[in-house]
Amino acid sequence: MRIFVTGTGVISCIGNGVNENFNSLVSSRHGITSLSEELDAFLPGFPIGRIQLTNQQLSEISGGNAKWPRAALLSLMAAKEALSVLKQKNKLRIGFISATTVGGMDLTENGYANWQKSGIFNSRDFINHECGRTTELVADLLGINGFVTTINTACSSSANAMMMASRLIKQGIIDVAIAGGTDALTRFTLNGFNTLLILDQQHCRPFDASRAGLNLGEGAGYLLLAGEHMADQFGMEPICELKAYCNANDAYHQTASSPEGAGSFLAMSQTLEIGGIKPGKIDYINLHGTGTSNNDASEATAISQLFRESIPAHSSTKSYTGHTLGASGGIEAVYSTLAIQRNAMFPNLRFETAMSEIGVSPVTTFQHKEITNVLSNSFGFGGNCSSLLFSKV
Amino acid sequence: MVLEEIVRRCYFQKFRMKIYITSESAITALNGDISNWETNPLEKENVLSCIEPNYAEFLDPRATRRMSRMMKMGMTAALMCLQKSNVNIPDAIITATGLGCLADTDAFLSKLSHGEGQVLNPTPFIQSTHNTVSGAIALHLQCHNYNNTFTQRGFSFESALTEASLLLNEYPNQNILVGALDETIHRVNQIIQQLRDLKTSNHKMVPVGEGFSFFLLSGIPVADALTLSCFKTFYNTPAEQLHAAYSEIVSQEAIPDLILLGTNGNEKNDRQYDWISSLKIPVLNYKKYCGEYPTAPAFAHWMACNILRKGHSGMNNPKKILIYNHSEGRNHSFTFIEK
Repeated sequence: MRIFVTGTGVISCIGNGVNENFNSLVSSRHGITSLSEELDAFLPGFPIGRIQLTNQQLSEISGGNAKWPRAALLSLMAAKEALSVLKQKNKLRIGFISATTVGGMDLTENGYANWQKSGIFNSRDFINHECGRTTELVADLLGINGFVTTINTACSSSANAMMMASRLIKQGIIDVAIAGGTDALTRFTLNGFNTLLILDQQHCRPFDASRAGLNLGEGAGYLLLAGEHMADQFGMEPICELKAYCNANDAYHQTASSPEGAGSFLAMSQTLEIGGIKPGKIDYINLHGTGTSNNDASEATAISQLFRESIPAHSSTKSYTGHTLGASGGIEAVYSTLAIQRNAMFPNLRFETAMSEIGVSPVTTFQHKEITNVLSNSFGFGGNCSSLLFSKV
Repeated sequence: MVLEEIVRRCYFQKFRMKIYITSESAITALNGDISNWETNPLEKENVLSCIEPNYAEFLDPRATRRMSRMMKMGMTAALMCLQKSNVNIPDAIITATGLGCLADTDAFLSKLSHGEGQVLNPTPFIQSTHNTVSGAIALHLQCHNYNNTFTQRGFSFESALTEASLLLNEYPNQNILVGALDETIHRVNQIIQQLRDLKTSNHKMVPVGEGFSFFLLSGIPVADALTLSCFKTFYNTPAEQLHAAYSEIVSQEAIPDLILLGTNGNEKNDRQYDWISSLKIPVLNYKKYCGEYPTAPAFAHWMACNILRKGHSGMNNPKKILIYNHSEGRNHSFTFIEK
């Protein structure tokens, strides 16, 4: 059974909705701003990809509750957009397979701060902590009950959510699925990545020789996936096909990627093999490209090994959005479908000099070109490496 | 008609094949021998903590010194499971955790709220991600294969089992390591206790628990494998429909001779299990042995395997066991395991 992408939804620091995001990508408009005192006292001035809407504003637009975790509000915004193309919702078994790494951590850390101030540990501050809770809040509001679950494999989570959703559809457990992920900026992740010394204090420069780390961002991105026949039967226009996917493990280090990119090589090469696509047929790769010295060197090595003399056009859109962790695979899947739908390639901002040891150079200007096959990469902590292959229908 | 309705509205899974349990392992609060279970004094405790195994049998002591308790217990349980099989490298590792690595999360949050932003130690942050253990198992085994982690509250283990079923349907020859991990920590126990104290209906609840269990599953049976003959999950499904689904299943399969039931002492929660009593089948309320925690159903699966393999005092060696659990009335699941 072929799996079609029939709807998309996204919110990030470069826009609310697919069109706003596309317009920013086309006009090289990134969304990186400076971290304000209000969000975190320890890291003032650090660049972040913050969405300029308060929880109150998000709740008013989405119909969610302002007291929800921010990740749930972002999730609701993007999931609603992805679902908006579906007209006969009550006739279908709809799944919601969502990824998140922080869940309600923003509320939990407020609970710890309250405890610090008042000396009282208030259990009610923690009822929305669990990652699965964020997913349930959104599923319940949208009335989705086909199959609801949450994946957390750090930065590769969303890609794995899409694999799970595809299998659930292929084996007839659900008819359609909203699959992707959400994450909000939290003090927990900001300070966590800072302790690892991989936050760039300037705007991130993925794949550049001078790269010095990542900028954290926030957002949510979802695809509405449907089996070929359901898409046809329910008049859902396919945007593209999710043709193949593969999940592999680097098995090298708890947080770092192997120098040769064993995990990313496996994920990409097996995705191509399963999809029956020769490496030369890939038109564009949406990189994981975080901007850290380690990730980009490892990913570039794997790409040059796999594609050798004919490296496809590639770029990291994290130069626009920052690294949105569990949401990145979802947001970048939406960008990958845009690349196919609108025959477009998005520039890798701030790229100047290729890494001397590998010498691969990403796309630096917006380009119109016939795009048939796009590879989207997501790698993360725990050695988790996942690739998705999107193809024109 | 009723069933058709369930098929439409719930996640009622119709997997074509049976799944085989090659081996299973668990680190639990129980002291070894299952013959002691009935007289076990566990019920008097407020928190059921697991008895730590001898890690040195499975892991290099130099490595365990730097590991969190969650990692040590999770990895040891995984290695115990593999050791009982002939499989060195599984084709997939899928873990489930409702609450993730709590001790490390709490350690990092506490430091953060103390305003120690500049001098934080990265280790708790690194070890706080939900996929820490699945990644560490892959690293330890040098296993480059499929690796995933689910975290859906009381439906986490069932999610992992669903994915394992999907993968085995696609690749029956595979050996898939499925694990469930949840740890207790003092502060979370306090939170749960505070929340429980708000309602009198909670006062007879089983203690808070924790557990680490692993299962090696395949689509092809090896000698001594147990059969997971049926696994189905239901969402927000009324009792009468569950009863109908149960009747439909047992009309095709044999009637179970023991039911492991997920009652936890909360009246509202336990009322949903009432229809089971009309079946006149012996019932074991398993949560009094492991406590209440998000992935407690995994303990029940391990317990069922143990009873099938080793028998159980006071029972005529059950041959087929049903595990029935629901979490907050939202997610219900049936698993039939047999010899």
